[in-house]
Amino acid sequence: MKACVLICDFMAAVERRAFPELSGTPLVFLHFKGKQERVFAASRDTEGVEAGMRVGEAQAICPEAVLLAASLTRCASAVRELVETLSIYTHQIEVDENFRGDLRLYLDLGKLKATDGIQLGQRILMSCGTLRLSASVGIAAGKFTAYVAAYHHERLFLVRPGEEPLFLAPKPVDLLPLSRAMRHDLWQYGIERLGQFAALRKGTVLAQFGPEGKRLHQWASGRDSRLIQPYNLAPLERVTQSFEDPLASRSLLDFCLAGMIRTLAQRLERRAAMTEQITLLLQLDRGPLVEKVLQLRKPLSREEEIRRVISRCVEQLQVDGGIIHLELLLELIVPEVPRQLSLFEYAEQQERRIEDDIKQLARRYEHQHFFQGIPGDVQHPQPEQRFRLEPLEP
Amino acid sequence: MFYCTIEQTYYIEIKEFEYGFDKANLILKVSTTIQDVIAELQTRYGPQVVQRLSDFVPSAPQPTSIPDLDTLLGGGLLPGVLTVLQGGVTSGRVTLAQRILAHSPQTISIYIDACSTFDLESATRNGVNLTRIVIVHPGEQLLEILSGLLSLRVPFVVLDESDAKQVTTLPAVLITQLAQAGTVLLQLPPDRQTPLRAGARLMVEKLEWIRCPQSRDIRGCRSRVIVFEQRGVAFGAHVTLDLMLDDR
Repeated sequence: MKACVLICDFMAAVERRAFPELSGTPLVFLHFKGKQERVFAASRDTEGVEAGMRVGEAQAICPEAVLLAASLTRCASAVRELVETLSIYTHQIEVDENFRGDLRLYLDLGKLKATDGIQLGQRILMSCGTLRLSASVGIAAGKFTAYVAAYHHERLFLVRPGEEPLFLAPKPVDLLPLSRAMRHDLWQYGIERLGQFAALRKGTVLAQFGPEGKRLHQWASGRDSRLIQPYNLAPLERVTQSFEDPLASRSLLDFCLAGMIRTLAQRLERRAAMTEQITLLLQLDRGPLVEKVLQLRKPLSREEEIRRVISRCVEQLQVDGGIIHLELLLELIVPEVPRQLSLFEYAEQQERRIEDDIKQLARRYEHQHFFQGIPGDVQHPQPEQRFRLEPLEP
Repeated sequence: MFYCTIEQTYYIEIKEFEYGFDKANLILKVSTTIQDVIAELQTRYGPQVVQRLSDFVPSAPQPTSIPDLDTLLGGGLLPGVLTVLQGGVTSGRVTLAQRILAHSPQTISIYIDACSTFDLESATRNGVNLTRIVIVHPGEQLLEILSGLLSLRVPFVVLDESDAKQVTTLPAVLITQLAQAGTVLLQLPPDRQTPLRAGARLMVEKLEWIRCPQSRDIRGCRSRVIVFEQRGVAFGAHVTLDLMLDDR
């Protein structure tokens, strides 16, 4: 059996989860295409706003829509959360990563009995509920049937084995991933339901639509033998900290961040890995979520380096209010590559070594040749009093 | 540095005699392979005597933090190469050298002041942090001290001989050592003298004084830096720099 977890308007759902005040408001997500801002995705309630439209067009169609920047990072992180949460049921989870529309996750439930399916489906729904994401679940023998079950039912629906053709027959044929030409042809033949399509002869479908059509014909007939393609979770390190009393001072924030960075650096060290992307999330008591994603020029792993980067980032952030939740994410984790020490990138130890060696060399020449400039009375009228040379200290 | 060629199957000849080798000793019979010859040479004259060319991989240029100069030099000064900064009196080359020294990222640099003319006050004005440089008055032991510094792999050395009578030509052994150490060595020879074995040569020419519009006091000079020789840079490429007396 396979389960399909469907989250409608995924991008809008994620955004509404982060900003509850947006619930019930039509949302339009924008991104830059070239120099122009275009619609990346829109929630269903915008009615007519489509991806690729100009901002003006979208506003004309749905004036009450709220325009937001498409945050793929947030969506990716929500997908990750979902996969992590659902992995308690199975490790075979496939993600259909389409942030523009609905998000589909397929779970391989193995040889699950139909009687247990409902119980498991309810648990899956509860798990999605803990993430504050509204989902519907369909359970069937094949992926397509499970998707249709999830799509056409509010919460949970199970299609028993053998009942697939009967279940699918009245559903619209548009649920199949049809090409434009195929959709047009089916429309011309008056085929609107999956049952009508399934009733066509195999040979006819193959002759008319080719192998792709044959495959879709099998799906429409309830025969979908596709396997789950497991989603590989990219390695990630996360540390979060929540506060009952909002953090209002920079020194306290720095202190908390230092502890979190230390933990992350230790984890990286244990993994012998480095990070190429750091995400800092601050939840303010007044509501807004401040997010900063730092793409690093070179991978970092050392605590001081990460601290320096984050400290610079915090300085640039405009934090207006107390912080109630802090989150640090290290993404794009790559194995630590042993780096050839460049002669001009001296670590502290090397710097100290050179200083010591020079002093030793100076000692060899009895300090007759090695000197250091010492500032004296810089305002003194006599130039020789302003600076003086002194033998290098041993 | 020297190089070897196999003239016949049985003989190897060393072309340059910097180490004071006896010529009779240089004609070596090759018994079986070139590795044996190399082993024998290394046994006789030390492991440094024969090295692979791959050991001399050029490092990335060291930025001078003067953007125009870095652009001209294709990134900066070459480590492991003797860079000569030529120029006349008041051309601004000492100022330029001190500016480069001031902005070098290393924590410690060496200024070899061959003529004891290093002015601490002007160096400070040029931005040199006195705690980060060691001034060396080498006297007669210039080459010995320089060799010692190169063996320590000191990252940045300025050899100022701008007021000396005669330029010091570094022996080939020091050039080899320099290449191995990857040190940026900037030599300032006396006016109209050119040391040998420089890997990069830059000429500094003063174009005009820069004066204060009101008092007409000299505030600096406008100098042109011309590349005579530098890896990857066309001969004659140049850039004009304003070297002000007070850079603080």
